[in-house]
Amino acid sequence: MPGTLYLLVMRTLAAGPLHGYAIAKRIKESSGEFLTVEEGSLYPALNRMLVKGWLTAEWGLSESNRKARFYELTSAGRKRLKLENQDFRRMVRAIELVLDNA
Amino acid sequence: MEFRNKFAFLRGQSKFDAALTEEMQFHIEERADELERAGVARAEALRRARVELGSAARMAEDLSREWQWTWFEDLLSDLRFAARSLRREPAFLIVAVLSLALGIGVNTAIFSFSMEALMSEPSVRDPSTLAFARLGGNSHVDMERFQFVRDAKAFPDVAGLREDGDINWRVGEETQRLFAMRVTDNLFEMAGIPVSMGRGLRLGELDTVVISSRMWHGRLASDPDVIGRALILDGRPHTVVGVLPEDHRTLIGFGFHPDLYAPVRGQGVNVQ
Repeated sequence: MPGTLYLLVMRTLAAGPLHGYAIAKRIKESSGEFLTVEEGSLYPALNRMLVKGWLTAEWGLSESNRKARFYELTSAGRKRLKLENQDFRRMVRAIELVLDNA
Repeated sequence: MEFRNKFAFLRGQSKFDAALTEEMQFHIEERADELERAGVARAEALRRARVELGSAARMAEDLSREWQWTWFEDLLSDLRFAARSLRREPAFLIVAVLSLALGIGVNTAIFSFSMEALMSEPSVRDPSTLAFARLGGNSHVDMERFQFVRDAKAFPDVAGLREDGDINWRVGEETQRLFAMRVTDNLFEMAGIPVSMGRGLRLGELDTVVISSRMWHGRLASDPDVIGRALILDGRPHTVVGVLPEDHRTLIGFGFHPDLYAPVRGQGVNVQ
């Protein structure tokens, strides 16, 4: 669904800064291996979120001791996450209602 | 926020490109590590990781596009292209420049002309009380007929002027030709033509002149004692009685700038 990638990424980053690879992995794991984030769309999405000011990026060392770029949620990002989270849940509930009752 | 972020990006684009390459490299190595742990040889793991990620260069381009004002870069390259093609085709360049120059020139000319014809007013007390008349369809009439019209009292007052007079001014051993406006002695009072120094011509005067500000500054070197100075004009001494203001406009208009006004001794007409 459009826009859900932002939501997933921001929700994943809500716990703390992560690098791109870890974001993709975390989303995959926490979705029970169901959702796979394509690298080809993950990095552009991260980039767009940087442009919008929802994230900041900083270089650091990964667990494997390599230089990696860590993304962190800004306060604007946090607000956005809350908003999108509500919207998304409302939408899912609405769809469920239709599926159950129509 | 977005604007500020984009601006910061523009200043450090090369750093951005390097950062992206590094980030892609990190991603590939992490993925290769994972594949290796699953039992794939290092070289093969790296190859597979690279294939999975796709073309890093293309992604870099996509990403940096989002940071930019693409239209602005496009505009710059269009301008560069235009400049190049103009250099390559000098004939076209000349035609283009000439068309522009002619267009602008004609526009300016028409505009100045209409300003002069429609908008400007002569330097007189009240232009709305003046009318221009030609007697009998001639551009100029002799003094007798002029006096006849004046004495008929059909108008409150009638003054005459003749704009095409030359006058010879003797300066020491030299003679200079001046451009004189010949007017009847009542013109200055009738029309209320303002002067910046001295006074206008008066009734009954034959040997006085009012000079233009250009004449005063130019040929008379802005002489502060110019009022009362004698000029030998057409062999006869004339006294300067007044100087016109710099922005003086004649009743004729159209950039008509006589060096001096002198009383008429012949003919000429222009009426109120």
